[in-house]
Amino acid sequence: MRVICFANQKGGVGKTISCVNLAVSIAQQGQKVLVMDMDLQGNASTYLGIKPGSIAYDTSLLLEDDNFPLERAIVPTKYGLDLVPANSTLGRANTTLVGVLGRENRLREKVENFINRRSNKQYDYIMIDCCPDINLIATNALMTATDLVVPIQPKQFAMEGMSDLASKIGDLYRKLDPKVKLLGILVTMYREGTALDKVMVDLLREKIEREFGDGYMFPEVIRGSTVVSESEKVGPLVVHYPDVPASLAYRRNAQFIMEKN
Amino acid sequence: MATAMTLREDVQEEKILIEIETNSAEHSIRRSGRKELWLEASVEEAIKKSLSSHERWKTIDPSAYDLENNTVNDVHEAMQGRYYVVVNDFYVIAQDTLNSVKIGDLVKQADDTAYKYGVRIRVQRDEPAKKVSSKYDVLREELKEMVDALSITGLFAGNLLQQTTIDPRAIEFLSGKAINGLVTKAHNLFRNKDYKGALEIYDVFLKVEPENADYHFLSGKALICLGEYEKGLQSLEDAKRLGHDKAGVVVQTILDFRKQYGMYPLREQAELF
Repeated sequence: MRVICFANQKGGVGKTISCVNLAVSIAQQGQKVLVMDMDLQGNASTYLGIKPGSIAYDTSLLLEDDNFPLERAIVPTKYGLDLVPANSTLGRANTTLVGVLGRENRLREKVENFINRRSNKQYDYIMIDCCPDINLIATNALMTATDLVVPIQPKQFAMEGMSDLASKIGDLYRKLDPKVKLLGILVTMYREGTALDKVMVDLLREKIEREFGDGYMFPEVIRGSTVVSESEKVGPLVVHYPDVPASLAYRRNAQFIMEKN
Repeated sequence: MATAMTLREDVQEEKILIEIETNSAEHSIRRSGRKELWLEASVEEAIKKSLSSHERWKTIDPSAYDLENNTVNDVHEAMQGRYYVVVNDFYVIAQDTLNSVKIGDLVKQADDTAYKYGVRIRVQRDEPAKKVSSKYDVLREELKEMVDALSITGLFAGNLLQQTTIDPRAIEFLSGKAINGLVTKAHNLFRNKDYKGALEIYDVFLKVEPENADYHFLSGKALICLGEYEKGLQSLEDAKRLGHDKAGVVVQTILDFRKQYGMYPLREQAELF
């Protein structure tokens, strides 16, 4: 099982939309997928048709309650995948866990226990939509993950923000020995036809290929469009607007994830 | 009616872009602002969206519009530069000097849609756009240094650490525990006479800490055991220079051996050093 974490400390870069649309695309390929909402805004939950106010259990219990198993927090969605929803109570975990021994590995333990119990519900992929900022909640997600996806806008500030994220992830390695590896950088909100965005993406791709090798950039950029924004109201793009370029791009990128193991 | 319109300067002429903005009175600009719609679904949808956000289009009298000059041919004639279609207060800008068929299709759709919705449409042409390559090249020149200077190695820490061959860039991301583990691994390799394996790890550490006497000493011993005497002696000399307390003795022993027997010690003998 692969656990893929979508992280970027900058908000509004398309983490949630990317996580959910890739998750749905992978589920559409017959894979068993669980989306874990680790953002206290609960946007991934809402996007998948689960109202944050209507949920009985959420990801905060996984972090705070020793005896609360992962199975109990899972709810089905109408999109062929399951969800561990979140709401604003998740934010509490950042403070309640401060004095707890092994606080960074709470989620990892729950997921490992879930796998070891070999319950009926087993997944090929767990996809975690992380909160912006690398706090205790995000650290738990990164300590659980096997793969990291970094959604990024092709903008100067976003690029500089990526440096900060790299620094924090580097610190995480020095202190906590996570096992997560970068799966890829996903360019979102790309303005097709603009020289600026093209230059940014080209330069970033060249730098990464030169310094780290091929295959770290997702093959398709996600173009910004009103349709992408509108999908927030109705649900995943790949279901509700299956033929728009962004949906096609997400499907191809989902294939990339499945092939890159 | 004010017709000030800012065309995007950073638009590349390789894809179709529909860009809609008002050019009428200030209140319209203030209310509807600048809008951009990318051609995700259809021209019709784009125009409908733009019009629906603007109250004035609903009050238009279709009989007042002159459509006779609004043909696809007009657009084809204007293929050399920028051109745009004006739908009432909105400019629908289409530009693509590389693919005239697409432009023709685009404007045909725009034309049909405008007719369907009872709005006026006309085709205008602006001065030829700047060469895309020059804009791209200028931006590239401006931004290259910034992007190249980005420090993003941390994102790849896991990938670097899990490679079969150790990447020196990975060392800075090792935890204290992991570093100890790696040093122990090297020592175990040495003890098991896998000198090449041990040397690989010592070399990585030396790249990170070139002034570390211990790593020079261990690297020197591994080289000697591999039969690479010149390099090994050099490493041991470096260790001695950096203050390693045993390096001098080992160097002297090897040199004495060579002086006495006219050859370097055999591997089995070197292992005893």
